[in-house]
Amino acid sequence: MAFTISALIFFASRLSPIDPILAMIPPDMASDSANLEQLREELGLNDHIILQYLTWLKNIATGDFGYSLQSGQQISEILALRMPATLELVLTALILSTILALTLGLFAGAKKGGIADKLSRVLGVVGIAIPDFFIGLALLNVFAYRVSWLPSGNRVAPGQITFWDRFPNYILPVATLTIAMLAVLIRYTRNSVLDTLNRDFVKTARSKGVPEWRVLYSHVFRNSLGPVMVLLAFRLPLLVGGSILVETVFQWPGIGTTIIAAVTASDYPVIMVVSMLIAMVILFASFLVDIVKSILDPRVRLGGSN
Amino acid sequence: MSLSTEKDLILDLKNVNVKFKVEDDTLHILRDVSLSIPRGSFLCVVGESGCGKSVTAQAIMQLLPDNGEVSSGDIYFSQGDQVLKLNELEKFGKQMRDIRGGKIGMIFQDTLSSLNPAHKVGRQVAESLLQHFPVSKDEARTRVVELFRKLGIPDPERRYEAYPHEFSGGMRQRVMIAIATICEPDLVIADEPTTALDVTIQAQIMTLLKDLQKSAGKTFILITHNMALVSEVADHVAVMYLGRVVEYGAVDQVLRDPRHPYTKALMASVPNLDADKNVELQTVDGQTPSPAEVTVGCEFAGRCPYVAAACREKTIEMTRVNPGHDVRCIRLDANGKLPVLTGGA
Repeated sequence: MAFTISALIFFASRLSPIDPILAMIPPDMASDSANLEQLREELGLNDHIILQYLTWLKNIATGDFGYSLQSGQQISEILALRMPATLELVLTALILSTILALTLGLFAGAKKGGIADKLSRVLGVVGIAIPDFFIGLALLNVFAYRVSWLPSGNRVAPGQITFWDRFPNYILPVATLTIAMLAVLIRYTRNSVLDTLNRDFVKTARSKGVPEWRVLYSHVFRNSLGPVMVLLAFRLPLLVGGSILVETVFQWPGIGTTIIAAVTASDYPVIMVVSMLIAMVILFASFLVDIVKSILDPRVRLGGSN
Repeated sequence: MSLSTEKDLILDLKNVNVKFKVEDDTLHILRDVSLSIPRGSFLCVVGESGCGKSVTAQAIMQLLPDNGEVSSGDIYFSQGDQVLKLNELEKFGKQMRDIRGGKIGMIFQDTLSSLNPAHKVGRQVAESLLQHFPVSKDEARTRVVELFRKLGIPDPERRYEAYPHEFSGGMRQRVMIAIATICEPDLVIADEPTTALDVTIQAQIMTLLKDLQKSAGKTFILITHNMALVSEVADHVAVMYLGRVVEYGAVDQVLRDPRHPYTKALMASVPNLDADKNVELQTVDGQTPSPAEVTVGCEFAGRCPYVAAACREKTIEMTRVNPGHDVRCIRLDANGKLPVLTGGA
């Protein structure tokens, strides 16, 4: 699977009509075709395409991601620089939105039409209907521009100042991403809880005289988590891909903004490496889904006891 | 209240009506259901699908779906020297929860969906015990294993740790019985416990239930549509049709001498090994009307061979034909017999 994806990424990038050499060097030097030819030879661009692919694959596998055409920096260096920003943002939003969505979704499902249900409905509609960059802009407008309570993102690198000094810069981007992620997850959780509440074993649990909160917690919640976990797992690629729109709105120096820059500059090596990374995380996520599902539901456990 | 005047009744339903809201309609699912259940008896509630058997059980347990409610009538449950009105207790309040599982146990039909797939069966049985008795987890476990053994679950220590999907249907039903009886409730309601099982397992489970009733002096309500089961285990039978009890009495009275036309038709449709193979098995003609249709008079009138104009005029009351044998039919004569049909039905 990983090989198929790597091949797709590699050959798709080679389909592009843009000559990577021309994109790499300043236009005024491009007239010297002898130099260009020499450069091509050095970079292995004249080798057979299969050979090029295999070389690329070997390099990736050994941790040599190559160089950015744009800046000449090592891609691994760029990643090391940008990855923490994305991880901080996405991981916090992912954790916050999950905790909030599961709690709200559980209460919303348990008491249809109650306060939690209404709140989740509003959040759901807002989060699904309004694109995340717009939520970000709206928050920026209100909190950073009109009342100026909070800075407009702009991550400050760690080490220079204390965590609490940096903290306000996180609030808006994290809030934006959290709201965007919350919406679908809340609806998912709520509907899943409603489904589970109608299952027969809930009636059995009630027939034992178990209090409602225990019925919810011990019987309903766990059996509702399956579909929710799948959704969650497929958000993990955001951890390496970053959220392009939210990062752009808040000028967050993460992978998302890196992708934007790379795409506009036809910086193929960077695009290829990031795509490859995202693909790997997606593969890993689907693997994770299987594991989590088997923990939640003993029926899908492999080689179960007889 | 009224319980003390009669013999020792454990459960007394008085004119219970249950209504369900379905979209804009209100369906009248139970109509004036009255059932008096003496302590230690074995009552079978029979009737075809949709007649309100299961709803009766759910009404007693206060486990009706959210769109259903007891709209009128009372359900009295005697607990020690107290008589409680179950329908007036808060649905998920402490008092009702203490009764559920503690005083009234319930066995469900579909064992695979009625057990939590994510929990070990032992834990699911122990949960009931831990809820109602101040026992430690270890103690609960010992008692569950003991009960498993008593109920004929082989290798109970190991099976305690198994999940529902690792059990056969019959074994799962034993687990359900364990859940319903681990707290030694006075009353056990079994809602079609054997419908999903094959015949030999059915017999085993029924024997098990009957033994429980005899040895522990418990009261049983068995909901079934299997008439053959009734004669084996029941001492009282209530026949329901479209939300009403149409005939109630001791098992001998109702099965050997059915008076209501519906019961008669039901009995005639039970296959019998000794029967003449050339005679076609009788069926009850027509279809059960939908509960959404508002009918005046006898609900069975549309399918009844004995029907007369008076049947459709007003609600039919229960008539006592023999001590303890009540029938809801106005076509019975002074001796409580139906008229002889002329010209063949």
